[in-house]
Amino acid sequence: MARQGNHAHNCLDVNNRMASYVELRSVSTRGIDGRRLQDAEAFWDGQDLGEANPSPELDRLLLKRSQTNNDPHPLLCLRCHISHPLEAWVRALHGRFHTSYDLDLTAIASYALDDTGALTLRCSPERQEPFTFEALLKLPTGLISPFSGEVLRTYDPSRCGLPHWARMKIQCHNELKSYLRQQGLLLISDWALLADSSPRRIRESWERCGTGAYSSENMEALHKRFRTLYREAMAAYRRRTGKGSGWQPDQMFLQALAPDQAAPDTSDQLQSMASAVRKLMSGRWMQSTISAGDETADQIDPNSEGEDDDANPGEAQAMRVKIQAAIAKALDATMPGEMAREQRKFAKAPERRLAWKLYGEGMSQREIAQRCDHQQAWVSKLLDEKRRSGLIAIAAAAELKHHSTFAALMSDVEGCERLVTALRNHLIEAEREGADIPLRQWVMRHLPNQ
Amino acid sequence: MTLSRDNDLLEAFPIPEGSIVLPPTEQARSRRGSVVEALQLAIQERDPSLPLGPQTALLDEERLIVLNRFGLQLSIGGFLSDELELDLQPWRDSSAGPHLAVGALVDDENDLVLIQGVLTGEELGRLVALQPNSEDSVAVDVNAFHGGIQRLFSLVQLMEPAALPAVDWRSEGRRLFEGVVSVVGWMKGQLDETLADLGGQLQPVTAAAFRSTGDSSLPSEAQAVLTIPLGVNSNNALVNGAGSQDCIERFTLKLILLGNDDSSTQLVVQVCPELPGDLLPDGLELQLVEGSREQRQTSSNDQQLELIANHSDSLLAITLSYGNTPPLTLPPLQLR
Repeated sequence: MARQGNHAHNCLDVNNRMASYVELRSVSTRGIDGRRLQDAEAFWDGQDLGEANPSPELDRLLLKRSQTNNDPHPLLCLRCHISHPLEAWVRALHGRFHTSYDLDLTAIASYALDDTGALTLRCSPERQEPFTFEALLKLPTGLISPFSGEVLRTYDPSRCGLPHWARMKIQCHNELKSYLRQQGLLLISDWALLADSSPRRIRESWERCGTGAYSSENMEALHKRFRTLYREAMAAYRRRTGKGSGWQPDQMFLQALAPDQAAPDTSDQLQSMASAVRKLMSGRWMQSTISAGDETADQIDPNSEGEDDDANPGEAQAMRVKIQAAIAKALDATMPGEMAREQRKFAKAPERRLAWKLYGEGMSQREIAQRCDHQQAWVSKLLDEKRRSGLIAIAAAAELKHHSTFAALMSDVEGCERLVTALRNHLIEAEREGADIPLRQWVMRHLPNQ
Repeated sequence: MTLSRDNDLLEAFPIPEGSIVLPPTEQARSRRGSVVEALQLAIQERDPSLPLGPQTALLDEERLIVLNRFGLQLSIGGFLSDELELDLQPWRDSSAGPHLAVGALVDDENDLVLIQGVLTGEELGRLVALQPNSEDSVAVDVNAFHGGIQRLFSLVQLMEPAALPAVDWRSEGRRLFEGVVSVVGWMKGQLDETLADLGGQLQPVTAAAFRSTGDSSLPSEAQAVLTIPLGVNSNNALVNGAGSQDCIERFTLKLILLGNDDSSTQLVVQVCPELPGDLLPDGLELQLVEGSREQRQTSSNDQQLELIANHSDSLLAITLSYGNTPPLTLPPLQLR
């Protein structure tokens, strides 16, 4: 009984170890799920790999077999293998941002997990070939489908492990970047992130979040050299390709960066450095999203920026009239063009018009988001209150500066900024219960019918 | 499913509010080109009549941009930069220096530009004063550029260039100092050359010597006093050193070092009229920045301005300004 138990346990153990090479994670109508591929399992059983653990060595062995034997099966196992870190990446991205941004898990997954597990590869609309390494190499340059094929045909084992390579490739997937950009998010490569980081950030991130045997001084020194070489490499890449994205460090770059160590070690060091920076920024991003809800606009009344109300109530009233007139003029100069651009989108997205209508009626962004079945970030992006109120406020201030009451404010930076801030707040915030909010009122009066 | 051990990595970054999307192009843009294009788009949106130039040198990295008569120095970095390098030479050497420093972030991969914000010359001067090793350039925290594109257009559309506080970083006696001055050396009678150039004089350090000068206003624990003679001339400009003797309005900047050891050192900063009982000119502003703490006093029928710096590891930045004329900025001082 004990031996049977042990045997069962061993089988389970082996099954778990090999699962990553025979179970393909992919997107379906039900979302993301996995299935064990019989062809992969059969290949696995036929090789002497039963108890092998997932490892870079095993990946290299399978890759070599796929290159030398022209057999689709080892490649199939690798396609299964990389689908797991790709799924984890997709889920992590969705998990972090889906409450604030309109992210659809299936949509994101469709870029990374589009492999069906077929043993054939579509090489043209009319032709399919066995999914071998040779067939992959024959395909034209540019992103190919499935994405796993793109990962495997570009993979250089001397640079890093296959799961990390898959992650680097998905980070520069242009269509996924475009989708995320429309939702308000950016994918930025490790290389751009490191190039943008100051020595101070590298030091702080390594000291607080770094994992690995490298010292802080060592990392800073490598980073300094990286920044210099990266600038030159990117300049050459732009001249050669005309593009600003897609660059990856090659063997030559890594060796030039750290001649005293092997390129994979340098690549690993850069990866660790970038991970530490991302972790540091992740912590700061979490803090900023928590505190963002606590921010309230400075309630400066533009009426208070001129002369003392108590001293001259008549003049104060005249000033209020001027302010209202300047705001009205600025609204009429700015908003028709803004609304015309918005109107062009109503036919394809009628919920946009609904959002504007609800805004004009006085609903909060959260309420509008619920009514339109979108995230609040979608509403915020649509209304773009900060930018629009800024445009109108500066236009109103430009009108007011011709009046002596306000001219003095324009003679110093602080006065000028106070007035613009006050006008912006007046446009979008009620100064007291029941007061009209000029921007919302304008929208209510002028919203196009369709 | 294999869970990533790095689920806490930030794989994507929110696009900052106010980012400007550039139209796609076949040709790769330089970063300056991207920023110029973003400014052009912003001008079209706000007021197409706003002039942006010089047209023949918009892409010249060595030249300032001129937007509605305001000279702008562009300081550009990648989209996730935490610091931006700023060349100080235009502020020092040029007779037509910039009015504003503009911090801009560019995402080459996604054709995005963010105008992070603006620094006036005065704001920049304060930052630079706290970086003792700044020579030809200074690394500025990206968040120091504040206000976004709205601040830029608020200033250039609503103000006159002459209304910005002038910072004459070239003139004799008001040079932008590069070295930190240790105040503790005053107790040994050591006066830094930069302070001496301003007309500074170090008074004798012993208590007996203080008493013999008849200056009974000094605290008993005073260890040293640095005085700089000052005045306001007929052009209403601040004058220091020997030149102040020709001014009608004359006063003194006093820096009084108190305390017996490092742990209790204080610096009292006073501005007093030359003649006891006189009033200081109205509008004279004394500012002391100590790390993140800023103190200011402006005279209005006052006989004295006084601010106190407590012992700290932060450098002290002391500035005396009057109206729109170039202020007097001391070199960064260190109490310890």
